[in-house]
Amino acid sequence: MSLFQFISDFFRDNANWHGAYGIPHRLLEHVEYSLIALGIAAGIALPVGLVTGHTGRGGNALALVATAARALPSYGLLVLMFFWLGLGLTPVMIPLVALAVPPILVTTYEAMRTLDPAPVDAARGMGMGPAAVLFQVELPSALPLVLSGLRSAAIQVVSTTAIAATVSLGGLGRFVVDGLYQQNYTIVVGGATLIAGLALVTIALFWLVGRFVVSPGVRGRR
Amino acid sequence: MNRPFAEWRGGPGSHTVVAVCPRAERTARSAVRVTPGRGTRRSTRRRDGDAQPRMEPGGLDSPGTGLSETDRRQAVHARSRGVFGTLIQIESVTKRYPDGTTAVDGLSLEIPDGSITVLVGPSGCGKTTTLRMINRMVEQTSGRILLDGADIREQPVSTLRRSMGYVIQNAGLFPHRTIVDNIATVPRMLGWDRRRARERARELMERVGLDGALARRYPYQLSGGQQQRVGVARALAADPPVLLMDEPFSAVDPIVRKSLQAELLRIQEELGKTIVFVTHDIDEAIRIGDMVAVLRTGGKLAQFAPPDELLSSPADAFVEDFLGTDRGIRRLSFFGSDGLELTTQPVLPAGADAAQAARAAASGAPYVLLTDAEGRPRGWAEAKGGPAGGEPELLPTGRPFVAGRESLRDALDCAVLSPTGWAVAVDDQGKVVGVVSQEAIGAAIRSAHAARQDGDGAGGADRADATRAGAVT
Ligand SMILES: Nc1ncnc2c1ncn2[C@@H]1O[C@H](COP(=O)(O)OP(=O)(O)OP(=O)(O)O)[C@@H](O)[C@H]1O
Ligand SMILES: [Mg+2]
Repeated sequence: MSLFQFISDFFRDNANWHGAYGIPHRLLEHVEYSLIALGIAAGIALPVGLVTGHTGRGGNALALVATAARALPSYGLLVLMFFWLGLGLTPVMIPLVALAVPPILVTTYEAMRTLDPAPVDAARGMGMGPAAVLFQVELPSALPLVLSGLRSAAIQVVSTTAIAATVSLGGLGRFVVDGLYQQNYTIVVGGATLIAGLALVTIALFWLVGRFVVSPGVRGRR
Repeated sequence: MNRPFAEWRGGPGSHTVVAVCPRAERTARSAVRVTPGRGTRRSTRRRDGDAQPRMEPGGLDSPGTGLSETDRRQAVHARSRGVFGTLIQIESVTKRYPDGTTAVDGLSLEIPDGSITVLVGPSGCGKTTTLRMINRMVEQTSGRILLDGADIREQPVSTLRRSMGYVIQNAGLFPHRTIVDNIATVPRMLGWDRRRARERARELMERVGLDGALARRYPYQLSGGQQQRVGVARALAADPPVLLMDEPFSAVDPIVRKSLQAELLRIQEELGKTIVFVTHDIDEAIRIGDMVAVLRTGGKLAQFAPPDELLSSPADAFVEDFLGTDRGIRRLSFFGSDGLELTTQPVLPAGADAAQAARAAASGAPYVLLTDAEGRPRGWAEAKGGPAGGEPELLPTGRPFVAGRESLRDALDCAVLSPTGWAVAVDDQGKVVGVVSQEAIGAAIRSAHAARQDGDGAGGADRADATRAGAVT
């Protein structure tokens, strides 16, 4: 059987579209886990990156943390956390957040570091306070880079969230894990296709968001 | 704190667009000379402004627009003689950076109200530091700075900064905002609604000579010179009484720089701002400054004087060296050409008869200037050959100077460049009003110098008169 045969069989099977084991439900679970992980990671990495980048201090410590986090194997971490914390969402979230923090942190820091100092100086000189300078001048100019960091984090998280299935949680990883167990390659290939598709949709979404929130005046900036 | 700042703080409601014809402003200034004080002058000007048309924005390259340069300087000289107050007083201010660098050392300066004060000096002499202490971007180590008599540390730093436009090198525009929104930044911060702020921004674009079509563009779509104009417009947007400018024109080419300088002089003339201008270019300082402070390395004041005085009597070898060569020639910019004795004897109008031609040839000048039907110069003919018989061979006249409006320096330049050694004087329409020899110009220079010396002895009034109607090159 060819790959495309698997894929078309998977999507044509009516049973795959309904109920708690169906595609819509699994997709929703997958998106939910990914969003939670990305939200936590952004909640940590964005402020830290903005502040360290803004003040220019703590750059070395930050690079160290990012490198260390990148070196962590997600699956290994998951297994460890599972044995330590038991069943639940937390052991899944820890490796996902550890995965998503470095790209957000590093690009946000870099985005702030490489900002043209002149507009910031001008903004301060016209009486803007630190918060206004950050949100009205620095962030809008840094946005293309910040978004690109968020985007690579999101893509990695969407792909890696599949590991949640290995510790009895849902998500699109279920198809892959269950299919392998049942030696049903139609389901394995179908699940993998769905994950890849979701990653592509994520890229498209970020492109769309960029069109709306990034000013044309800085869109060229990478 | 006296009135203008209170007015200014009054917020959006109290803002009036000050659109003044320079002559009206001059009248206003002389009218209040008996009652010094910024408040008085500002309100007078506002009343005038309501009735007066604004100057067209395009005329930046035409030196003849509006009030002549020396007229403006005259008004400022009058004020620096103590008729009007000083706005910014820097009192023995020292700045030592944490690393031990003494950037400014015991500097005292009185920056006169409503004029352009230039800080000039070699790189690293503390110009930027001095400027940034005025809006508290840098805090001084000791000494104090007074604005309208009150210590600048008495008001909140944001209020202080909003009362001072700040223009930096490369403009520092916000890349994510359109031109009009860049300019509207401070009005928006002051709580104006978007429509009103944008309206104001468009007005300012016109004032600084920017095409309204650029309003919706982003900074990266503008040339360096245009960006710099936007920077100036943005600083002017909330009509602050003070403008701080740090090498605003140093990143553009000389031609654009010159037009930006002319534009700044015109804007200053119209709005009467107090401008503190930093540059390392002494020519720029002399061209635009009403008062020039020369700083030496280590942040010490070497000399504080009007440019004219700087050129005629540099305080020491450092200042003299910094001014460079041809001080004498450059100083001629400050002498008007209206004292020149022009002669019309060697001028032969078109269609003149033989008798006229003979009289012109006999005037004693070696050449006769022929003019066309409109009275414009055509060329020089040799007096000896006699232009009566046939068309004589003509020597080019080169660039003429505008009598009265251009300076002795321009007149001398014309004479030096003329193949005959005679300069041609024209009026504003380009019609010949006379010719003058190098010798006569030399004599005029000598007597102008003498008059200036007497003027200095007698007090500033004569000096100011002597410079009336000259234009700065
Ligand atoms: N933040 C700082 N920390 C330490 N030293 C500084 C700082 N800023 C400026 N300096 C030093 O203070 C001195 C004056 O600097 P400043 O920027 O005021 O000079 P400037 O006259 O504006 O020079 P330029 O014409 O090159 O702009 C220099 O020796 C400079 O190295
Ligand atoms: Mg400087």
